[in-house]
Amino acid sequence: MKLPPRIRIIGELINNAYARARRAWETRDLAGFRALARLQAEGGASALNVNIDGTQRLSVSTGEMLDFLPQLIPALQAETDVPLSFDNPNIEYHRTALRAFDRSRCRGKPIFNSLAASRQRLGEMFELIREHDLRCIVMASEKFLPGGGTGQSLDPRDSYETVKRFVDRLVSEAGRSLDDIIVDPGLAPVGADTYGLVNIGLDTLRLCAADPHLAGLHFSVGLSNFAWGTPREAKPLLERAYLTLAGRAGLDMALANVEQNAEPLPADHPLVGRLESALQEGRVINGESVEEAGFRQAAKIMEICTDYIEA
Amino acid sequence: MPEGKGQGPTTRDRRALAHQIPSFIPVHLDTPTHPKSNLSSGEAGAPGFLRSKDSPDYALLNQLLYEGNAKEVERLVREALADGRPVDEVLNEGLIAGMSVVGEDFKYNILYVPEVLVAARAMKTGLAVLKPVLVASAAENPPRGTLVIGTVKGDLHDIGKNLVCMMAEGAGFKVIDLGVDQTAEQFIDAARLHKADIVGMSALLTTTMPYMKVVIDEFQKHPDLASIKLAVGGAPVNRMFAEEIGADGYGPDAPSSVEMFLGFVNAA
Repeated sequence: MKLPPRIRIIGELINNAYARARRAWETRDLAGFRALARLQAEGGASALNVNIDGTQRLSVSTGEMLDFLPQLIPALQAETDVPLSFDNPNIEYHRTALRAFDRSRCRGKPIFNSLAASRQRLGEMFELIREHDLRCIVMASEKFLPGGGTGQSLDPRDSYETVKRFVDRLVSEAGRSLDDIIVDPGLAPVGADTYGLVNIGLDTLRLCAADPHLAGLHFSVGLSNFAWGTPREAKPLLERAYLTLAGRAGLDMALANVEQNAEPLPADHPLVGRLESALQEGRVINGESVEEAGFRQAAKIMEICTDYIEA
Repeated sequence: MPEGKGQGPTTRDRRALAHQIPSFIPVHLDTPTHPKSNLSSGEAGAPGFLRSKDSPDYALLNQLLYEGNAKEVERLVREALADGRPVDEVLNEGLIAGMSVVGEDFKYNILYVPEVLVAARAMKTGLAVLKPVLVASAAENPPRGTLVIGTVKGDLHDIGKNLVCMMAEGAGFKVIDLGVDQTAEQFIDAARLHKADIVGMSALLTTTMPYMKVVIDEFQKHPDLASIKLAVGGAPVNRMFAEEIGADGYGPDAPSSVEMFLGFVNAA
């Protein structure tokens, strides 16, 4: 049996979408956050994502986040030396987190999560990344438009161009090596994928992996996006099958829940082949709309879910 | 979303439910948006039974749509038209009523997202059959209302918005989907151009959410747009925020949003 490549996990539990994190946030309970850090470090996370942003159930202002970071970051560092990944689109979040961060207590470079075409103040972000010697996550799913402005990338070639552009700037302006750069090729809910984003992400991964100038880059996706809206019993298997397919294309990291045993399924597991053919159904044929292909993919995914839950 | 489906029934439970149909469907049809007149057809018998030509089995059509059987939905819609049924009756009792059950069951975690998409495909197949006839009779059968919708500037996350579009279409709205990353100007131009009754804004990020207020403030500067209802939704948005920024409504999920839209146009 061929063993799939190992995927390193960035632990995602510090996120208000999880009830445990939400409870800790609501009472600013540092012990609760430390427990989440410990659990993930012991679960083998190679970094801990720190996202304290709002959700549908919870309003969080930027001010509230900035007020809490100076207590939260040292508390997490007191618990573990696993690198932290600061997750917010606002540069002030990163500045505040880094001011509270003690590099000597961390066993690797912290991560700036994330850079994207649409971010405000990109130049300042590069400067911050250089100054603090950070790794960074680059979203490939947004593109720079020719006349200025940005948009969603709906073509893997556009995503690939975005990656090359960010890599050039990160090397020249932020002094990064390719090993410091983690590309997120994009991952969407496979059962509601009417733009074909799952295939676009995988094709982006393949384009980047085939480019010798990009050798050494890392690739990561937000894994819990993938099975969103599918039966809870099917989610872990779908995610693991995706990791096998994406790992084959070059994925080596994932933002995921370490409790879910987020390891790739063996390549010969039947679900891997079934997911592969479901994604094949999601490719446009004979001039149909992308939406039509997405409907077909959704139908195949539901068939897989139903079969595996009953088995 | 890490928390996903909550305490929804397992697929096994859902299968068990599905086998109780047709008695199952009328239970859900018992909402104000549905004509009561078709409830009796639910007593007609096992699926596959099509009643006499002057009374199509809309419960069966609803059920096929619910299961996402696009081919059969298409066939029954064609048959109903061939039998001389009024196009608005086929639309309302055959398709819209069926899709509203889908919306209801999605809301209560009985249906999963891929199933909603498959049902939406069946809905669209049926709509495609009705479309030429509907266009011909458009003057007599206007849509329930016109919804202009998009994600706000800086935000490219649109899964939720897309679900709202599908369900609003299913509920009989004319939907103008502006897509992602829309400025206040774009919302206003589209609202004017399409004579919108409702403008829906979506955001997934706390950083883009404040832009909803910008859009609402801009709308309020134009007296000719005063009658348009402004609705907001998206993961970080909640009712408190919606009220703060002066929105007319807040949709916590796709089905609730469509109920809110129906409330807007019914009150108008």
